[in-house]
Amino acid sequence: MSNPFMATLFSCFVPRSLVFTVVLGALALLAGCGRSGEPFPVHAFLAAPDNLQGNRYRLDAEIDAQLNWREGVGRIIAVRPLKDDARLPVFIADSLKANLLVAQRYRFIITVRKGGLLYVEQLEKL
Amino acid sequence: MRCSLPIFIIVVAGLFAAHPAGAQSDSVMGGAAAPGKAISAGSTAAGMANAADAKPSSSDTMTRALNINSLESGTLLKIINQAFDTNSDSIDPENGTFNWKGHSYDIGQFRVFRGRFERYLSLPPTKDDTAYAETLNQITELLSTRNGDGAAGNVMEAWKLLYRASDFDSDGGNSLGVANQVFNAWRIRDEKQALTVAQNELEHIRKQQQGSVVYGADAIAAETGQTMTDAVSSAALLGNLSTGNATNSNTSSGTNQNNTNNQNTGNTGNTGNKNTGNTGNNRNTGGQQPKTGQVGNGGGPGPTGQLFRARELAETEAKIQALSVAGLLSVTQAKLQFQSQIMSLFLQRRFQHCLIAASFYRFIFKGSHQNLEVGKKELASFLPSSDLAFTVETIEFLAREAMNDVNSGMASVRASYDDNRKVAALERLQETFFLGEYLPSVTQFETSRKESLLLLYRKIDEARKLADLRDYDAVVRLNDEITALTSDFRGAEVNAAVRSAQRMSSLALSAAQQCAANGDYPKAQEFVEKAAQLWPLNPAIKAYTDNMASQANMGTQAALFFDESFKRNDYRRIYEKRAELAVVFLSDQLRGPQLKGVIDRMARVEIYLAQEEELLAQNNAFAAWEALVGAKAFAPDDVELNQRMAQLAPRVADFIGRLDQARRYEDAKSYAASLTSYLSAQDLYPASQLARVGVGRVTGMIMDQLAPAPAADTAQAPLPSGKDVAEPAK
Repeated sequence: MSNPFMATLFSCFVPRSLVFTVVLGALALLAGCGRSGEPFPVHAFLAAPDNLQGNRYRLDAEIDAQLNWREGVGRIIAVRPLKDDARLPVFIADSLKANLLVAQRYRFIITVRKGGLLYVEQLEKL
Repeated sequence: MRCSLPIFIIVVAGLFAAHPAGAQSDSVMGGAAAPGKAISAGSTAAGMANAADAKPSSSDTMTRALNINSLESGTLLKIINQAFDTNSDSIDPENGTFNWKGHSYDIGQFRVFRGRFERYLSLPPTKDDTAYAETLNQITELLSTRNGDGAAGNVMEAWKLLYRASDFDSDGGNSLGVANQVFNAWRIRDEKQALTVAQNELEHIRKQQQGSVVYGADAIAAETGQTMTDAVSSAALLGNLSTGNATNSNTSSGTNQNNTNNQNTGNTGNTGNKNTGNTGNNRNTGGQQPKTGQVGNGGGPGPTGQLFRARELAETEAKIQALSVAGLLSVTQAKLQFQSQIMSLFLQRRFQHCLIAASFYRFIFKGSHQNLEVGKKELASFLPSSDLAFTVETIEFLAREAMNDVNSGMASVRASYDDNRKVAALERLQETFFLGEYLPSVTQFETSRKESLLLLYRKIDEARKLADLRDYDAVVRLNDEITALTSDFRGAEVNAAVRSAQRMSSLALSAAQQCAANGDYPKAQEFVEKAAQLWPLNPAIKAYTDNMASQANMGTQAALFFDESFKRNDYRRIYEKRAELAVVFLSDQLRGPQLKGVIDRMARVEIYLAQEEELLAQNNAFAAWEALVGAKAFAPDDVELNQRMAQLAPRVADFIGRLDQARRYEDAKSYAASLTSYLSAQDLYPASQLARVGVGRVTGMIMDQLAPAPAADTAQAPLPSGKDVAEPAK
């Protein structure tokens, strides 16, 4: 939607108010994606995980294996980024109530916590 | 020795028969009982060696079984000494005496006498000995009452031959002593004859003087009217008084004084009588007779003359008595000297010289002088049951008896030698030699036989000394040689005794080894001492002591080596010497367990190293590395391990780096970062055990960190947005 050509084409067949509303919505959406949708810098994380503490990223990855699970706490899952070979451990709290299977692809909204823990805040199946 | 030697043989044989029995009885009491018990002890000890729990009582049991403390080791030596004893029971080496017919001959120091016997065996008889023996026989023949009936010529010839015999070395000057004694007796006899002549002359004078006194007394009685008896009595009384003075001063000066008085008296009373008296008395040869004659004839017919005549008579009688006593003393002295010489020769075992001297004595002294005045006590010891008067013939009898014994003894020696019973021959020869050392039958014993017996004597003597030293190997060797030399040596008995001693020593040593193995070193030392006491040259003792010494030395060195290596964690050095150290530290309460732990560690390390080799052969470097890492936990400083890790590290450097990074993050409690590194390492080697274990461990840590406040974390966490994102639990 951010493409100008598509916007021009869409405006020819949609009322101006509607177009305006959609544009505002898209801008609002884009503004939100720009704040929490930054792709996760895998290599930077591998090189110095402490440098990324406190940051929030978006990570598209495929579930590789479940490493640990503790009831009431959550699970630690090894994911493999779609654009990288390195595996990364992420923590998914039980509160997310996610049903995860190996080889499923998800978009994870993660924050880098203390100690380099990739804490999944949101996940979305791709 | 016709009587005594057989008795000797019987007694000695009886002793030999009794000694083994005694030894056997001793063995039953101590020696034989000990082996029997020792055998059971050996089996008991062996069984105990297998049973470790029986250690404390094993040594005590063995002590009781071996009965070492009550073992009479002297029994063995007694047997051996009996077998090698060349000394007859008639010889007392301690007192240096030799008994014959109940009398003890003093043979001086026994060692010296043994030397004489050995010298006798080693020296062959010479021609001089033969000539000497012939000379003595010739003397004996000349003095025999059968030849010439004791003619003076034979006696003189025999006396001259004594000087010839004395020239021989083997005579020892005894013939010269006899000859001198004979010469002395003859000289005394001549003196006695001279005294007899003088005594006869004095008797003649005394008779004349007695007649003069009687005549003077009769004349005075006729003139004065006194009775003859009174005159004689008064004259005799006065004469005795004067005679007593004259006798007391029985010297030439006294006599001269009397002569002077008589001359004065004669001149006063009757001048013409001096010449008459000289004429009548000068035919006497004695030096004093003329003066006495003067005295006898110098008295006048008066009372004074009668007084002097009586005194002269008394003086003459005193001189006769003095001569008689002097003759008797000289004869007695000569007799005693001769008898002493005869007795001395007999006691010196110079029996031939004793017979010769006795023969001379018989010719020199009359039959009434044959009773012995000296040496009665010595002779009584030879004939204790006799109360007869001892004469020179008694000594002759004993001397002939001794010579006969020696001759029969030498016959026995030859008979035993010819029967190849050389030990018996040697014993008989030694006995015979002690008695008849100077007799021809002994001195002229065959050289070949003496050499053979000397060889046997030396071997037996050497074997006896070796037995005293308990050098049993040498004793057995000599025993075999001696047994080959003669048929009557008790070699089997000696061998049995030696084997018994050797076996006892070996058993004691085995007990010592077991005690040492059990750590009871004082008891082991006691057993070793017993073993050495039984058989000092036991080669096993040397091996045992060397082993113990090396163990002690090795123990010290091993302790230093172990402590140093253990301190440096150089387990491989310890592991390479584990066999020696295990023996040394068997009873070490501290190092024993430490050594066991080291051996366990290094055994695992060796397994890992072997595994690493195999994995490398399979080109599985990551697995090989993990094997080395596994070994590293047991021996972090092992040189071999580190060398292999250094060799392998370049091939798995990335893997090692990730694992190392994971470890460092984990140590820094950055568990998530550590988990990332483990996963990274696992990506390189998916089968990595280290990574898998690390992942499991670190995820657990992460969970632990998240668990305490999961609700808070969840609350703090932003709520998920989007349609497909699952809602967090509220």
